[in-house]
Amino acid sequence: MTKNNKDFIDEVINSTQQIKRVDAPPFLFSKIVHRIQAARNEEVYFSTPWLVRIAFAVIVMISVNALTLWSVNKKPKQQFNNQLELHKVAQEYFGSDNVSNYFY
Amino acid sequence: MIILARMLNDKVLIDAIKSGEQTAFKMLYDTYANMVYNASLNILQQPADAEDITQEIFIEIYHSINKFKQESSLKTWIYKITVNKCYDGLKKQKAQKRWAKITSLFGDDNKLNFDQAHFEHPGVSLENKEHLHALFKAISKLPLSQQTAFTLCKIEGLSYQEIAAIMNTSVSGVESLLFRANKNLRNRLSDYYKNNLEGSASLPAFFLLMF
Repeated sequence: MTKNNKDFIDEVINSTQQIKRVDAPPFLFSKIVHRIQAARNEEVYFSTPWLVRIAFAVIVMISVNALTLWSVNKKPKQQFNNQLELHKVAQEYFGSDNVSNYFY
Repeated sequence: MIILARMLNDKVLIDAIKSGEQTAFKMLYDTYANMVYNASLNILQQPADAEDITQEIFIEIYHSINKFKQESSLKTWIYKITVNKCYDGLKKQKAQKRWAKITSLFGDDNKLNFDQAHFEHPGVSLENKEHLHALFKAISKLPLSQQTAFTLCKIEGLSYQEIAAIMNTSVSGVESLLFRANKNLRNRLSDYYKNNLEGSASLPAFFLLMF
């Protein structure tokens, strides 16, 4: 590092002491207050009545889902019961347990 | 004695804000607005971003003053919020820069808007402009923690203890960060000198020899 180079670096690093503090831009406080107020109004908009509505919608959705799941799960059981009935009918008509006789 | 008086004032101010007094919040703003704005400006190196972040910092202060346990001074707590918000701001700036680079490939000229090389600090006199321009460019290339430690120490003039409290680290950690920041800055400024000034410094001598 040459002397000129070192002098330049020292000068640049020490120049931080020459920085003057600047004032915050005007009207900044009113902008802040406006934004706080806007956020508060938004909070009011999404307050209790809205929350109740959203909660009600969620409950309805969950109920519909549960009902659908229940009915889907119920179907194979019914099918099984139908097959048992079919066996009984086949036994009565053909005197055997072979269901394939019924189909042909 | 002065510190005790200030802490007492801060306590009164905080209690007043907690009880919802608008004038107390205005007083807090008047006391700390310049500090917050200058710190944001020095870290972000963009006046428009610094203004936005200052707004966000005071909104954050307003909303989270109830969570302030007064374990540290109000000034340190506000600096902490400032540094955290500025980190977010720097990340946003980097993302915008990346986006501008991508869009510039397709013909848009957004690149200039996010070029920190064009930053001119409003608190710098004309004779120091050149030096500080080089310095701010070199600072912006430092890792985030070194950048913050250097800015808080050399530009904001905070003590090692205060910086340690703000950055959630030890005093020796701050010393180490500052040592590395200084070393990196010296390397970068040396490169800057070689690339930009070494040739031009010999130019007058060359012209003298010519005539």
